[in-house]
Amino acid sequence: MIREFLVLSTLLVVLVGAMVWHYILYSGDSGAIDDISCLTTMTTPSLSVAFYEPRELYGDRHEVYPSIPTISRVGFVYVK
Amino acid sequence: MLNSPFFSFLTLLIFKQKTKHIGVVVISVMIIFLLSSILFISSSLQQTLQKNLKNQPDIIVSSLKAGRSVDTPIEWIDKIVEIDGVESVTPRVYGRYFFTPNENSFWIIGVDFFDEQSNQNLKSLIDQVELREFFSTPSMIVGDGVGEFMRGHFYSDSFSFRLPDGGFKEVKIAKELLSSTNLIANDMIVMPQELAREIFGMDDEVVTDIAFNIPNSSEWDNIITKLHLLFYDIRVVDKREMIKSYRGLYNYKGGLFLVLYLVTIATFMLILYQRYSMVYSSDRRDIGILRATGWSIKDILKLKFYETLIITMVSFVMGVVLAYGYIFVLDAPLVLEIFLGGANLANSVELVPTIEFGLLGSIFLIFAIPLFGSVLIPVWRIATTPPKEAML
Repeated sequence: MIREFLVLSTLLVVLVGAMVWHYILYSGDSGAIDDISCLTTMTTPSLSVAFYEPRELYGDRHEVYPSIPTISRVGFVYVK
Repeated sequence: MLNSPFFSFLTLLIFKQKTKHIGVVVISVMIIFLLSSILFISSSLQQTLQKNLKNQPDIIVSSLKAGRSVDTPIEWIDKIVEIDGVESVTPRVYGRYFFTPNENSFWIIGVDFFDEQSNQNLKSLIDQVELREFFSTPSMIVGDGVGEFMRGHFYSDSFSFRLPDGGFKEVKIAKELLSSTNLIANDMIVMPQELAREIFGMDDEVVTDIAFNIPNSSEWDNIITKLHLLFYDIRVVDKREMIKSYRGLYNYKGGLFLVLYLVTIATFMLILYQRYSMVYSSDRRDIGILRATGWSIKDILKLKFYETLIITMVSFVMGVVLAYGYIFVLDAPLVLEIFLGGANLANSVELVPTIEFGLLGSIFLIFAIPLFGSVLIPVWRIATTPPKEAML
């Protein structure tokens, strides 16, 4: 085995090690998200959608073409 | 094995011809990086949402009129409570408030803070001192995205909501939620239910929908039938549908990328196959030389197999590690918008690291098998020709 190959192998092992280290030691704050979903009883993801798209994943949705807006979709729009 | 002459020759050959391999490695890393990134985001979002589903009510009932959602009469609660097996019946008031018509909107949720469970959750979100202030004046808790948006529009302490009757209602911003809640609360505003009713112009007799739990899941279908018998125009959404829609949302987008990936990988493999089977390629000459110096077909195939294996492993490890860093360390700038959208408030989510080993194994196999095929088949064809002919 030549030295360059050994260096490359070591580099790859270090990369994998760093990934595993981050994965094991990750401690995200999942308590706050749990509290807010429990308080609001809403768990739908906060999709950054346009005004004609549904914000929640259930409700007025076309079964075949979910992106098509339905009449009752615009919940609270003021008349100009 | 590592000190064997064969292995020394193999590694020497790889580094001697490194310019030839660098191109293959770079393209392979890019393909694996893109696919792994998409699948990492998809599985991380799905896992976080699935974890929170325990807080989702089992059944949601809302009223329909001519097929459109309308406010649900609050008197329905009395009838629902009477159904055996139903518990925790909660009227919910929520909806979208448009900052400017047809543009940015907030997701307002009215909560009954005098409910014991809600009160506990509120206490853990804001401390005791803020709690007293929260109830003394019209106040709200805003998501990270809403807070940022309001500050950008010079509403740093309070916001004036425009009411349906043309008036204004000033509501104090009591607390901004942590960015760790952005996945579900980025555009969310939580306020007392009465205040939400005032902003939406809803009277006390109606709610947006009614949610409740059914502890015995085998009774779900029976109770749904009872609901349809009790009320004529209703929509009933159960938790099973929610789970399905969560899976569908991200599997669809992940699947779309998988299809694109398959097209890319097929093109890449065709290029590789073409390169190895070219009449005047240097590989052809090299194989001819090896055959002329006494190497058997089996030895040549073994050499090319290990050479491809090393290239595949290096590309795969680098692609996956880069994707992991991009998604879970840098929080997936640009790509995240594909999954969360970018049409309303800007959202930056802290993704929880999720590694699905089955998925990684599948990526490796989908990538490695065509790569081996596109290298070994032309090599075998060259190796079976007479060395003199191959070296021409």
